[in-house]
Order: sequence, then structure tokens, then C-alpha cells
Amino acid sequence: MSEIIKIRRRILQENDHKASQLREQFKNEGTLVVDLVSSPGSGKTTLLEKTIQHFSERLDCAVLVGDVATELDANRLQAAGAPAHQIVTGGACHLDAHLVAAGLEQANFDEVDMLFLENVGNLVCPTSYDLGEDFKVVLLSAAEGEDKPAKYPAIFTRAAVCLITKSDLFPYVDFDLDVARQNIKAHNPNCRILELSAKTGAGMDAWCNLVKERLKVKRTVVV
Amino acid sequence: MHETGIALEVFRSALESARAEAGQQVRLKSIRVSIGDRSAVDPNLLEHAWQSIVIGTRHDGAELKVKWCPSRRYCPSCHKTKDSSLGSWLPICPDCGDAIEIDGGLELDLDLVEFDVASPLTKRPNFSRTDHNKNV
Repeated sequence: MSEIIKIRRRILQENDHKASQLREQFKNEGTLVVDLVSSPGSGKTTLLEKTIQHFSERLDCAVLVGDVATELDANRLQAAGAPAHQIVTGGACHLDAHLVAAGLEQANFDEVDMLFLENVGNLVCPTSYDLGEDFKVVLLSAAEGEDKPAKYPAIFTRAAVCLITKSDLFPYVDFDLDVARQNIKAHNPNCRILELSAKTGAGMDAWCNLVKERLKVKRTVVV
Repeated sequence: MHETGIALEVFRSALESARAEAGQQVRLKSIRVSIGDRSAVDPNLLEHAWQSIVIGTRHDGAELKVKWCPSRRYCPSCHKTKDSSLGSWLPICPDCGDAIEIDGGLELDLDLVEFDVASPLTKRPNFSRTDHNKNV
């Protein structure tokens, strides 16, 4: 005996449900949550180290960082002065809302102003997963080449902010900033694009101001 | 390769729905999902992942049918609906270069679940692929 039932539900319904719960929790706590996505080696951890140091005296930050293996990044971020918790995915190529919720439970952070979710280095898979964040930031480092937005369009269409990182390398790797900007804008006209070098500090103020501004807006809306 | 995670989610939800309908002894037969062209999920990889999940289980042979859902792309300058095949990520009209309106293509839905309900008298373990025997 064979039966057919109609379901009509989102495949990632459970993830989306958990992400909504997290979003509600972050809203109540007044915490700004930023999901950082990029290919491996484009400078997410260094950016966060410098961001944490920038805010150290004024705002409390915490980081949940996902990697397939090792706790190297969490150690680096803790050394930079912020509570950080490593989510070792053991093979999974992205963070999902359940991993974030479990990570938060284990980390048991004090209430913070800003929570950064450093996703697993990957330009494809993290795109589909809502983590309850306020917005996604995609990083594109100079050495990767300006064609990446065209090759991996999904994440560039969904990110609210694109950071072109390692700007100190522009002259050495023939990075064409105009072409990169055009490629990003073509896919996502509303994307805010900033270039910076976490190493030299160039452009860091603009990035930190952007995050601070978004926190202010979130708290204004909440109150 | 997050298609594996997506396929597992499809399997879990489909099985849960079938069991809620007809009890623990159901055997999945075919599943239909809708996948949009802007969902960042590759249908071939998804089907491949699906096969590796059901193989060796009592659901071995269950088919994953993908309904591909192209986004609707309309150019207000040309007053025409545009093809959404190659390069459909660009929100730019391939003919006049103006911004186009994009709708849909984000589907990632479980639509239909077809399953067999084994009568308790004919209940038997499925040993067809014991090397991959999974207890599901």
C-alpha cells in the first residue's frame, strides 16, 4: 500500500526556526550580531582581532568561530582580548543556527554589545543558512582577485557589507579595485563596500564606525 | 558541499512526516522537492547526496525528484520577461543593460512524500545492502 502526502514546508525550516529564536534573543539582549563569511585565508580572524582591540575600552565583543578542525582561531581571538569560543564542525562546511545556539550555550558569554560569528572559510555553503544575525559581511581579499563576486555570486548578493581586505597588497597583486567594486555592485547594488587593511590599520575606522552605527540603530529600534 | 546537509534534512523531515501519518514501518518511495535557481543548491549534488543517504537502509531505492524553479526576471525597460538560465545571478538585463526585477528562485521546499506502508505480517528486515546497513 502506497501513500502520498503533501508537505509544503521549507527544507531548512528547523534551521530557520532556531535562527528566529536566536534573533529574538539577540534583540532582547540588544546585541548586534554579524556573520562573517569568506574563503579561507581572506583575513576574517585578523580583522576581528583588530576590531576587538579597537573597541576594547568602549564596547564588549564576543566571537563564535567555526572551523573544520583546531581551536587556533579562538585562541588568537582570546589573546586579542575578547571572549571567544571555537565551534569545531568536524567536517561541516558552514555554521548553522543549531551549531550557533549550542556554541553559545557552551561558551556562556556574559551579555555583550556585539557578537561576531566567524563562519567556516567557504564562499558557497554558508549562504543558505540563517544564523539569526543582523547582517552578513563577505570578505574579499586582494590576493583572491576581483573576479570572485562574479564566480561566487550567491553570497555577494546576500551580504549587506563587503570588505575588500588586505588593501596593503593592492600594488603587489595587480588588484583592480574599480573592477572589484563594479563586480560587487552588479550583483548587489545596495551592498556597502569598504576596503581596508587590518595589518596597517587603513580603513579600520570606517568599518568599526559602520558596526557601531548599526548597533546604535538596533538599540534605538528596540527602545 | 552543503547539499549533504540539505539532503539529510529532507530525509529526516520526509521520514518524520510519513511516520506521523502511518507509523514507524513506513518505507520512503519518492520525495519531491522544489529548488530555486537562486537557492545556492545544486540539484545534481543534492540527488547524489540523497542516494548516499538511503543506500543500504530500508529506504534504499527511494527517489528524490527535484522540481527546478527558475526565478522570474522582468525588464521594465524592455517590457519583457528574460530568460533565467546562464548568469542569472546578475540583476541586469542582458539586452539593454538596465536593472531588472527578480522574483522567486529562492525555493528550497519539501513538497511531496510518497511511501509504502508495510503490513505488520510482512515486516522483515532489509538486508539487500548489509555493508551500508543503517538503523533507520
